Amino acid sequence: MKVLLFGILSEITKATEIEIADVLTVDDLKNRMYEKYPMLQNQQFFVAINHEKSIINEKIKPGDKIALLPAFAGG
Amino acid sequence: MTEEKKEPIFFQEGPIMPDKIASSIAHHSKKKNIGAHQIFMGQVREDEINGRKVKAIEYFVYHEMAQKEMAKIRIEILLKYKLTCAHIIHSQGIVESGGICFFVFVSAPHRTAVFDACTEMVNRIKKEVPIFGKEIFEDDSHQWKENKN
Repeated sequence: MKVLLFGILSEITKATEIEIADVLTVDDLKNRMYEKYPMLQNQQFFVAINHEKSIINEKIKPGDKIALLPAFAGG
Repeated sequence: MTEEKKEPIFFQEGPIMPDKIASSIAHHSKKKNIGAHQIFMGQVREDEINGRKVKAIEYFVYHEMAQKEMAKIRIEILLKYKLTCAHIIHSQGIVESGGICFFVFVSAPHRTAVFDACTEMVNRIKKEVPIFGKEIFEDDSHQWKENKN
């Protein structure tokens, strides 16, 4: 599954998107990201599923559009 | 060919030039039910942080989500305040300090609606639209910007 990364998160991971297989929930995804990129544990971010802010430990289905988003800074 | 109302384009590369803003104002002279306009322009500030001056902000946008959020905010505020029209432009890419990076322009028959609508539109966009800003300093170091509420 493709995961998009933005802002400081893409700087830490040196990627704007990564592939992660077999994640079933938001917590799964976060834990896998923390294993792969421990520095992310110091960052505040939320997971968007299909362009909506996810709820606590929401399920992730195949084909969902996933993005990790740090604080917004428009304006 | 069927005529469909196109969704507005909310993002443009680089700074928003004053002549674009002037021509946007000029276009409204044909809409004669309008009695009041309100405009907000965000400008990149040359902040000084630990002795380093911000020379530019590079904006990154999560386009698919940002386009949806912008469209949603625009239509909700149009309806809430019974606006005649509402226009939003935000920069992406590099905007040097002093450049305009954000433009909100709302119009209605009377002034009260436009004051409130413009403030709410600006605040909601800053809070709800996935735009990320990298503040670039004169020595080419950088930090990621965070909006304060």
